Amino acid sequence: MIINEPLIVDGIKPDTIKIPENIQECSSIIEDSNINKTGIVVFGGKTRLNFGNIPTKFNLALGTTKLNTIIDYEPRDLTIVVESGITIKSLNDILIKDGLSSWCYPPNSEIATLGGTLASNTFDPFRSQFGGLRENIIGAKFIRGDGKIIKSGGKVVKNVQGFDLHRIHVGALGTLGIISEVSLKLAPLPKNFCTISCEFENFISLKQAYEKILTANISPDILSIHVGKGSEFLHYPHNYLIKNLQKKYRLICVISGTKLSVEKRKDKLNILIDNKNINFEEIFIPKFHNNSNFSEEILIRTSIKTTDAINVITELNNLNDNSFNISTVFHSHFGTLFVEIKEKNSINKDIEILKNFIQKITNLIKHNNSNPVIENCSLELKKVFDVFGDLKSDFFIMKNLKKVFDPNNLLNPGRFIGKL
Amino acid sequence: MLKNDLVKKLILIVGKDYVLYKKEDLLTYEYDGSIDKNEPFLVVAPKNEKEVSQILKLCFENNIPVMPRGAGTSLSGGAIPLEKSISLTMSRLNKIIDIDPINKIATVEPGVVNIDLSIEASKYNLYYAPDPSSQKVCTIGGNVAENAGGPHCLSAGVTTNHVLGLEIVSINGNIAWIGGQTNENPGYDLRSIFIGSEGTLGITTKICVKLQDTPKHYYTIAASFNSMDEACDTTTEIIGKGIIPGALEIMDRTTLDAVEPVYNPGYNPETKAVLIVEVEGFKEDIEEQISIIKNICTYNHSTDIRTANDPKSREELWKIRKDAIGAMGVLAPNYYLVDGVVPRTKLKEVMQKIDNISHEFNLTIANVFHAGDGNLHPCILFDERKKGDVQKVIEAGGQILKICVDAGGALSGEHGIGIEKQSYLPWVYSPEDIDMMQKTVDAFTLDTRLLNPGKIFPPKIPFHGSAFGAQNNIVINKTGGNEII
Repeated sequence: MIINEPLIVDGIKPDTIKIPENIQECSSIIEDSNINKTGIVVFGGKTRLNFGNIPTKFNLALGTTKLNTIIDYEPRDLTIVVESGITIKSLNDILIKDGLSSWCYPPNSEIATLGGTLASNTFDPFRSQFGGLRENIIGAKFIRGDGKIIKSGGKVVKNVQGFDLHRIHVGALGTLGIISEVSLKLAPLPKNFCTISCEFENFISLKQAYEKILTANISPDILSIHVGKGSEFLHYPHNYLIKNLQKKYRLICVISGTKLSVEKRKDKLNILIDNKNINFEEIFIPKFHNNSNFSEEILIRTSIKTTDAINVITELNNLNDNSFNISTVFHSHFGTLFVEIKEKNSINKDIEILKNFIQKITNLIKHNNSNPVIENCSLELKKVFDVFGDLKSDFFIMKNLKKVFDPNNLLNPGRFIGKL
Repeated sequence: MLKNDLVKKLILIVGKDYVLYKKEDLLTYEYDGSIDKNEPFLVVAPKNEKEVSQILKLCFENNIPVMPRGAGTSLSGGAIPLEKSISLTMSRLNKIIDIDPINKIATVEPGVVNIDLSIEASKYNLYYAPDPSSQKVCTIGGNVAENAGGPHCLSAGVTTNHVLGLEIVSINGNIAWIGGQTNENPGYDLRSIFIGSEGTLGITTKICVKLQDTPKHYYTIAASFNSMDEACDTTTEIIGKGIIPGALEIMDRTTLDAVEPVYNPGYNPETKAVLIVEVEGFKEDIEEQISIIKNICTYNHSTDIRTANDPKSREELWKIRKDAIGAMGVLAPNYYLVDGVVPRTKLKEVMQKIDNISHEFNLTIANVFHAGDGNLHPCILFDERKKGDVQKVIEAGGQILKICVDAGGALSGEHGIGIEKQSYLPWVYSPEDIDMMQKTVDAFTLDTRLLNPGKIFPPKIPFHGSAFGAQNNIVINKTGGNEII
């Protein structure tokens, strides 16, 4: 199927848009693309098209949304095999009937596809307790740059038969192959949840409460620190809570388990935090399917140790800049820190000032032993930054891998780290 | 390069005490935990990543294959040197470099013994989750190579779920970190491919791992059943109820016969299977889960339920499981431990087929396995001195693995492919899939394939069993199907 709806990546419009009906057709399109060395950008729900460097070549936009079949599902095995174009919401809606979950709840899950979520490694909130997508993908089929369909892993929860080539596609932005079929490990949904939200007068009080929770044997599913009023996306999945809190410093904690165990930990948290601004609410999972559009502001994401994250947030909190507003969210349970930068005056933008400010923030993060990625920024900034940051000593292996997975450099060319 | 010249150059790098080349010194290094053996070209024991780098550079320049070796506990022949490989033993890189209790991570050298890390971490109420049965001797570097698991990996996951980053030395001597001290890093997640690659991609010299909080509460039960079917049904039903215990293990009658004279657990002679279930976490959660589990056991006609919720009684219940393989010597002089995985719902069906194989080949097979994740470990007992026994054992092992694959399972859950299963790889992967993996080796090894050569991929001439005059004669026909002749 060929369609002609607008699909623009970093200002570039493709010559053709194709949405294949099945994996074989998808494979044939890619194989044919090798003849004319066609540059391909793959899309699912189009929720993350802005992520990545500027494509060096974009002739064909290839959609996966019609690859959405459930191939194998046995609830008692806690595994499912699906095609990658299925939306996350459709997947979780099937699973919830059996009391199961993929534990993947990215923003915009009504349109975000499983393949796109994997390829962009979109952050989702439940990563700590139940593992991220990297942990839960147990097998896959992917279409290599030459159109060959390759299988890796299997459909059982334990599998050491050759290399875990399926995991390498998580976060690879489709540059090593198009994920066409995915086997996932599933987990049961806990029967009871409680979300605890609390606001604080200053960062020191927030930090003290946070540190008490860390050492109190509470075992939260989510524990996040929110400083500043950022976009809906930044505070996802708790944007609906955050918008009702007035103060700058907020803490969110989610616990789950049996009714008794949740009640007991709730009481413990109440005593620990000792704050009149504490709120409790029982939540249920579908609420996470709310559509928080991806941030339109400059967004930096970094995986960081708890102690380093606290240093970064402290320094950013003390940074008084007349030109920019900074908001931070630290998902402590998985060690992911988001920093959102918003210009106070969006008129008369000076790219040089903005560039220097971003560099200042990324240097601060690097100084704290972490490697930041710019998840969202303007085209002007992409022209001056590699959004994936500095190259490390392992880059030569990445380069070699790209050559063997995509010999003609057709898949998302130029968009990944080091312009791979 | 002549062997003498190579020895001289290696001595210059590591010193004379750390290069072994005389036949009698090499004997120990012929073996691992599998049934295969082969003599290494020579053995060299570096003490740090710089020495590893110099050794690899020398081998790269002279086209000499290298095989990394940890404690030599591999059960698939991963540490058997082939193609005149140098055996690069990592035992001197054995330091726990750092434990960071606040961020719950540890950085270790690859020669650190698995359990030693948990012992050290216990000072901070932390532990390292992967716990292979050989954890008292196996090394973390070896665990990385094989993506090792263990009884408690059911809820916690296997090695790949616990490694954050690795310092690796490439075949040309280049030292690089893949991953780091945090969950994610920009770029391709190279550690995902590296973990479980059986030493074919690079040599690990440092490993950064996650540590877990030691559970404050746990409850262990050992339920006896008069049939294996009932134990398997119980397993499927526990998981089906949405309970993922910390561990869920089964031991069969033959295993009980092996452990009884050694540890005297005193199980009823009528007992055909014992199911060990351990639940950990919050007291209130445990109480509810244990109540459900006990009801499922009773519903499936469990004849006796032993319980433990203190360290001493817990250790007693676990001892026979963890040391079961060692006790097999009571029943036979040799064992061959098979490692296959099946979907949990196929456990009963597959266990019945394994029983049929035992009768068909007239071989005793003990079963002690990770039932919760469908990871079977049929332990075929034999006497290598009996003519034809090794051949028979290999054939029976191959048939068991074929049954696992046909049931929708995998060739290995935690032991790896090594030499043992390389001929079976086409049962699960097409020639293109296998070629993709070999190209991945090329990407890491600069097209040399000099690291642990002859492993994982289907060989031209099978080596498995050849040390005992037996060989695994697999015919791979053109359609990708296979038959054992």
